[in-house]
Amino acid sequence: MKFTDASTVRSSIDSRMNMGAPSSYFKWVLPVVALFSVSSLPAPEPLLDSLAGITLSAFLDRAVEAFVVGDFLLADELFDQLEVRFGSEPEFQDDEFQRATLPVRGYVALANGSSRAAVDHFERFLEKFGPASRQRRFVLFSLAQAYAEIGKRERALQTYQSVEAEYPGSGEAAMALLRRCEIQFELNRFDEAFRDLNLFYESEAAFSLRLQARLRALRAALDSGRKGLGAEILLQTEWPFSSMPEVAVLAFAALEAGDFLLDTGEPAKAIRAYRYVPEKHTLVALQERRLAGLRSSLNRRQERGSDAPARVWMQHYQGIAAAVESQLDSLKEAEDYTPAFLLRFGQAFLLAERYREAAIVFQSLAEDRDAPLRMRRESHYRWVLSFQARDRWDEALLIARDYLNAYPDSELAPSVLFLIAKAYQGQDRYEDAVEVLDSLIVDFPGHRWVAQWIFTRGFCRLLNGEYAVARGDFSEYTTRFSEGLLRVNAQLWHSLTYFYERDYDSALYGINALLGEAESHHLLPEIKYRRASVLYARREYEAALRAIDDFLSSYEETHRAAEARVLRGDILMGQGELMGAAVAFSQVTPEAGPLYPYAVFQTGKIHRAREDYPRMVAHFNAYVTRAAAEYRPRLSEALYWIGWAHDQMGRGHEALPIFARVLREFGNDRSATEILLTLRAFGKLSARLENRSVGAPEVVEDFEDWLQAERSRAMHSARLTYYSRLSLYLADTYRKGGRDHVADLLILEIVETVPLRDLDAAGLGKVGQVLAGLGFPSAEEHFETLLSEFPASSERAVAFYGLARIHFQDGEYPEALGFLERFGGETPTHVLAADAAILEGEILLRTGRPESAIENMEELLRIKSARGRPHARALTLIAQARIQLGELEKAIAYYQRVYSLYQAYPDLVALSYVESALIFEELGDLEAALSTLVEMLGRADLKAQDDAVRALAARDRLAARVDALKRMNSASSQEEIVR
Amino acid sequence: MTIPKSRNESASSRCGAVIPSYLGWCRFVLLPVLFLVGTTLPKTSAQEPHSGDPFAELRNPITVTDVMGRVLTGSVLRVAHRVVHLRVPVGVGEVIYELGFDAIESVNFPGAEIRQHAEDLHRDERWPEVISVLRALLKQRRELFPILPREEPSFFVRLVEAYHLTGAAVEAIAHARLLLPYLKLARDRRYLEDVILVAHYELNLIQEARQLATVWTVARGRYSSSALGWLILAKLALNEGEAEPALVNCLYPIVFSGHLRVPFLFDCYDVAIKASRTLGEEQRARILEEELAFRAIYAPEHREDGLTIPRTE
Repeated sequence: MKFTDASTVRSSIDSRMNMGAPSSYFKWVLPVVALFSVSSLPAPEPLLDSLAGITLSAFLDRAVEAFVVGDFLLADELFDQLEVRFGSEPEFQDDEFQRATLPVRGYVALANGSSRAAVDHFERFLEKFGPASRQRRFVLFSLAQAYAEIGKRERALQTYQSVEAEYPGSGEAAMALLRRCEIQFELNRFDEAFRDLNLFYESEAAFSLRLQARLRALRAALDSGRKGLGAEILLQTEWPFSSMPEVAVLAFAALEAGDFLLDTGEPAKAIRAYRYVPEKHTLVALQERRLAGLRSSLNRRQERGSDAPARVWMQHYQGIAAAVESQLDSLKEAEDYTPAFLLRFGQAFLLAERYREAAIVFQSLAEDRDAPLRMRRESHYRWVLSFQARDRWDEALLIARDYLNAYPDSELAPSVLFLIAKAYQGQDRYEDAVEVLDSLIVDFPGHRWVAQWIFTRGFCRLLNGEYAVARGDFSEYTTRFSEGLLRVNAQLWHSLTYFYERDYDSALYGINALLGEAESHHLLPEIKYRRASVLYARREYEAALRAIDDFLSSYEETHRAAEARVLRGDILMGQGELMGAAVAFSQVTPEAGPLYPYAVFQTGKIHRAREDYPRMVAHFNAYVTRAAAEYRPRLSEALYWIGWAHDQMGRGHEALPIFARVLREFGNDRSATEILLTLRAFGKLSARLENRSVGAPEVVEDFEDWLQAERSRAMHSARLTYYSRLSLYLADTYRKGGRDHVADLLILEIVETVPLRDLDAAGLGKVGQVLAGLGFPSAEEHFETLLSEFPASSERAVAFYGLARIHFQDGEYPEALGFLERFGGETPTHVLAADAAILEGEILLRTGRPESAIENMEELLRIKSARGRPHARALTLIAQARIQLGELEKAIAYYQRVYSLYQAYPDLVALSYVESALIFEELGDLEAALSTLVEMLGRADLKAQDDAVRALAARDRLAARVDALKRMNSASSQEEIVR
Repeated sequence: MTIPKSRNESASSRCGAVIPSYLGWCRFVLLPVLFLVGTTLPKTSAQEPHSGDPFAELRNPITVTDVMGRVLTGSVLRVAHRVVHLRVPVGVGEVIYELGFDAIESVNFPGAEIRQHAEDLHRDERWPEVISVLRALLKQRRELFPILPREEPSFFVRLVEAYHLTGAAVEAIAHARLLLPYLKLARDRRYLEDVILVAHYELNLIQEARQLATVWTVARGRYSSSALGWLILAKLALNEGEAEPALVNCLYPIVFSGHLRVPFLFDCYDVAIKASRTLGEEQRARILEEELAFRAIYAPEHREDGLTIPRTE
């Protein structure tokens, strides 16, 4: 037996294992064994042969060499043989030898899958060398692993915990925790595992390890069905997405978490989760880059050292690299998840009401020729929805049509057709919408959406003013789909069709009936609000007030609350409770949008009615001095009323600068209102102050001169809106002075010089009226521009009436009636309302509906504000209707009322005289006919009327007939006498 | 420095087909009569000393090694139709060699230190000096780009970068367009395309910028590694008071960028937020602001008067 130099052996092992600190494993003097018991070696013969006669030291050298090159099977065999051959040698049994070799043997056994042997080696080591050993950390860690592999999980947990407790902050402690949590997951001890992983994530450990713990927790949460926890972990972690190794694991976990959040109604969070999901090509590229990085890192580690603890780390990273590689392979082989993901991603945007983003995603997928057809089709459909949700009907319509062109046989075709109908509805093209819905209802009678189609058709018809047919649809819905989701809605709208027809009794009846049925329905507040509206329309103010108070006490927070407060104000105004109404209006806040200025101006109206001018000034001053950023439309109007109130208080010198300000600041503002009123007030006041020699700087000496000069200045400075307003005002002035032709010339000058885009609502209406009166076709363009560009203006009434009149003159009665219905529905209180009613009466007469005409005109006769010419006109129309009905005597009575009571309208008086006379003639009462005409022609004021000519001709004819009759009668009398 | 010829050139050569065998592989033209007298046609000035000119060395003759191992030293007369016309001094006269691209093995340019100096200057971001040195180097080499390996034209992307970073938009466009045909690396090409786009935008060439940006967005696709094209389209729209298209263009990269940080994403958020406010969509603006913070996207450091395109090496 001979001994080698100890330092030589250590240096040999150190250099080959590149151990660094762990070199202390082998600090003893290795004995060289002279003899082998060859027969006991399990190794192959050639190897054993080569080991024959080898010393312990040389044997150890071979074993270590095998270990270093990673040939653990050979190393294991050699270490076993070492024990067999030299186990009884004192050198072998020497503590230092055992201290050095046992951990290596344990690791080798572990690497070979001989976990029980590994446990044996490690336990022997710990038993022999206890807690003071330098190799303890490695041995404990490996022992825990070996325990786990042989199924002793509790022992494994305890041992890992020992590593953590004894070596806090070390890499092994971190890995011990990760592995311990894995075992806890295997043992279904999820709460403990999540708690420990979370604590670790929040610790000071290396970020890469903490991130692994976090990713493991995320994956485990999702895999164990704790998806909410998984989503929370995902969203509360700052993932270094572009540099983390297992990016695919994160991406798929994010996909799963995003789906969960989307399905549980959290689309905004789902979007956040989905942002961790790149498309497949990007993910593959990222994963490839990470894998290359890991491999290069592994290579560097391999170059740096291969001792047992280093191998533990290498094994750890090799595990990650293998996982990444496996994920990459699966990823490459798997079907591209991107299209399905994009559908979900777009849906998240859609549900989060981020419609533009949704449209971007859906369009992108719909146009992606590499995506599966069904995905593209589905995405195209949702692309339509994205625009529909934003009320972008033009785009929605185009995209929907593209869909039908691309996928005419798609099962979604009916749905897309329905979207098209909705798009038409959004564009106010109700007839087109109804046409599409008609075809849907006929072509797909069994479709699951047919109920909704019928309801929508009814709604479109209602919006189109076709109340009776709309009612039919709502009735059909309630009859056919008594359990339908929209049953209450249909019933409500059914009742409201009566409301829009001003059949308030039927409306109230329907709504009252619905109240009992809809006690727990979400529409109950709406039904109650509508009931109050109907009562208000019936002028049952007390009942209306009770109804609206009942509504407000129960539904203070609903979306109708502001409208209810406004309605309450209107009801109180109707009752004459002006201050109560003012209080109600004051409760309408700026958040109520357009209702707010309505309430403000209603309050102003109350102060005006009460002649409380100081309060009126204060009220409107408070409105105009609101911060510029706040919502305060109709500023010019408010200022006008302040000036007006000052004027009423005799403070013209305060009013004049305000009027001047309105003209200066808002004269050229196309959206500003009451500019013409301001001009009138400015002119009158200026003249008054001039007469009183009040030296206000705004006073103008000659208002007409000033108007002309101001027009020139406006034209010169291209303030064309202002120019048109000044011209219109001037034209009005000329018209009042009887200079109609000059007024018309001014209007035509506006047509020539001011583009439509610069005319305000009043300008478009007035110019349109003049053009229509002169028979110019461009009148229609003005009216249509007024309707499209001033959808909230009351001046639209002029356009409705003007367009109705044009269609009437062209004999297009249904179209004319359509505009008149819109007039009644949208601008019923406009000053042209009576004219509109009369035009409607004329159309009814022309279309052979005299009863309806009489009904309408009788209603008009009940309206006090229509007294005067409208009433006279209504009477003549009733008379004509009676003639159509053959009720000639009644007709005469109506004409007589005209020429008896409405002397101020000589044209109508003349007409009535002539028509009465003709009826008398038809009835054979020639003398009455003649005397009627004689009476008429005896009136000087009627001689210039057009009908005077007719009257003259009739009178001569009748006089001749009467004379002839008289003569005949006289002759007859003489004959009788003779007889 | 010796630069081997680019290996991906076509193997065809028109030289070999027409040259008599006794003249070997190369067709050259001897001009014995005219060039025998040095005074008739002097030697190239490149061989003259250049006192005070820091780049004089770059005008010294280059050395071309042919595929047969022959070494020729001279100056490039011109390059046309895949043939390099090399003027080589012979005695008091000179010989002009017509070397097909395929016949050239490598080219050796004088001035290796100057090239290194350019790299140092670039590293130190001394942009005006970078421009000066790279322009001289470009002048020396640009004619031979077709036969040089791809790294060589790629090296001069630094010149475009320097122009871009100093706000010299016109020069940036000119040099980017000069280099583009020779660049093989997608990364280089993308950078130059970006510079061209930004330069047009900064020069207020609205139509051209819009056209370039549109082409850019189509070419780069939905998962582009930059948001530049979308941003330019959005800025153009916003400048014209068109907030809606500005917003939609910006949203494109915001939607598809995911958690990968693409350049100009912050700018897109910025424009999208402004456009939202212009449209009166305060809620949307706030959502975008929150998202910007959640995604931890921070403002890039742009030049004072323009956009800075980050360059990845």
